[in-house]
Amino acid sequence: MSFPKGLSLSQAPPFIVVSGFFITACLLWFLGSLLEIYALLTNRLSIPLLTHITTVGFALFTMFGALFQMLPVVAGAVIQKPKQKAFISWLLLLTGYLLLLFGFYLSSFSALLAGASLLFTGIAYTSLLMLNRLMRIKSYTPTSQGIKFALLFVLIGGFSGFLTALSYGGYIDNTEAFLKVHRLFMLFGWIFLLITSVSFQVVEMFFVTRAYPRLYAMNFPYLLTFALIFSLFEFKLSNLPLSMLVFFQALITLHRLFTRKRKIADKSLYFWYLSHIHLLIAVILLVFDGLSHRFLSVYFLFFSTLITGMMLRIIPFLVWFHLSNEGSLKVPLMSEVIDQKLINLCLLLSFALSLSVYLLPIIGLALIPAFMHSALSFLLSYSVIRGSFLYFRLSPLYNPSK
Amino acid sequence: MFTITEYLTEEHRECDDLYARVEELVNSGSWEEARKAFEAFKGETLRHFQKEEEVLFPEFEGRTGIVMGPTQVMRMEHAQARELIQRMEQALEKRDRKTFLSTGETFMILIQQHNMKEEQILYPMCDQHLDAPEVVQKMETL
Repeated sequence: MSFPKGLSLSQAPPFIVVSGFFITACLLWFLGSLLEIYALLTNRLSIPLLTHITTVGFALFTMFGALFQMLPVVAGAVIQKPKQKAFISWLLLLTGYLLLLFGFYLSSFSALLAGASLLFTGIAYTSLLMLNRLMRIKSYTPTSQGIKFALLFVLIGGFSGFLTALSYGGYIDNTEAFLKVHRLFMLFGWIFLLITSVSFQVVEMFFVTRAYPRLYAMNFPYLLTFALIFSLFEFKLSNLPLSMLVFFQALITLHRLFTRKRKIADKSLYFWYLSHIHLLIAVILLVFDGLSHRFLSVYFLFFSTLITGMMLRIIPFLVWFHLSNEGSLKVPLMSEVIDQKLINLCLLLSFALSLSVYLLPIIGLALIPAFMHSALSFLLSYSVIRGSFLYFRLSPLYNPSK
Repeated sequence: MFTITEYLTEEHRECDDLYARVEELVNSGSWEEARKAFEAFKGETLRHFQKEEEVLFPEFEGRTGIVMGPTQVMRMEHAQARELIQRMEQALEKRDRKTFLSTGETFMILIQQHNMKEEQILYPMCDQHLDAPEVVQKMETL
């Protein structure tokens, strides 16, 4: 009789693996916001700089951290020695990210290339590590199926990003083509697909909604692949299939949330509503504007709002879960890990940030969204660090007397 | 005829629906109705655990020889869930809305990640290696 290798439902990674990625993501997002303000004041803010602060500094770190936690749960794929492997991944991604950012900020090609190389190495290491475990296991659900595709797409997106960096230095041609592949595969193949794959599981279970149609959900990665390839061609409305697919997914998710059976409206629900409204607006902009600055800024709101809401829920659960499993004498409930008032304030700031981004064309003062970004990321960092430290204070593993 | 996955997944969803009802009643302060709804939720959930612990897990362990593996983890999580159900019941008796909802939130996430593991890993494996109609029949008769 054969079983998937490494199948064990007990081997969730140590708390420090996931919290390490989450804390790093929050701090990088906050420090990035300070750089954003400084760059604005000194007229050095560029779109690539702004983009990578949110897509890499915040989203990539959070998503890889979440995957370390999710793989054993959703697919039974256990990564052996998770602390060591997560540290290698974290170090490569962090050094790559910092060098890349300096490369963009100082317009230094050598820093940019070194950063892109390290970042791609980190992405390749992490995604191949995870794919290696996942590919040995049959996907029974849309979530594990979607994660496989998302990891493949982040690899393609990372490689095309590295090639884009090489083309900036004149080593190879076709900058625009590489950049397009990089943007499409990172924004939709990676970020959107991973969020969607998780939604297929989380929306139904956490909010007690109707399930997504199984045929649709299982085939979603194939539909997205087709739409992404279509978008790579250069003709009018080539983004239409992609936009329609994303629009439909946002609508179906909102519909399920509105008609949920679990009527109590906890705050994470509002983060979901807000983020998916941003997604609807972003894809409308995609049809008419392509991957424009306006599209990007609204698309950033989509995933940063959702990640913020999910992180404020995941950290308290993990603190409770690990302390409970470790037999700690004092196990706080989720509501005691991150104060509800902090969550409310994060939600309020997410609304304020969204509003300031939408009103930017009218007001014209980019410092306002930059300050909102700063305030939100500071508060999120504070909440996540405070919640995580509670674990380290109470865990018998770190305090044998407890 | 149901597969094991279909049969037990359906029960997960029924328990979710029952919990959603209790939560709504507690939130609106309808304590008497909430108590009745809680009894239904608790009964259904504990019966589901019983089916797994007394029928499914022993069948799986007997067939595969894996005793300290996934089924052991599932039993541990059942114990955690039972403890949370007990705390919710105490909060309900005291009509303590805040503690009930807070404990319920922790319960909900625990049980959902537990269900994910069962539905995506354990049940399909059980379907693969056990005689599904026979096992479902045994669970039905409990």
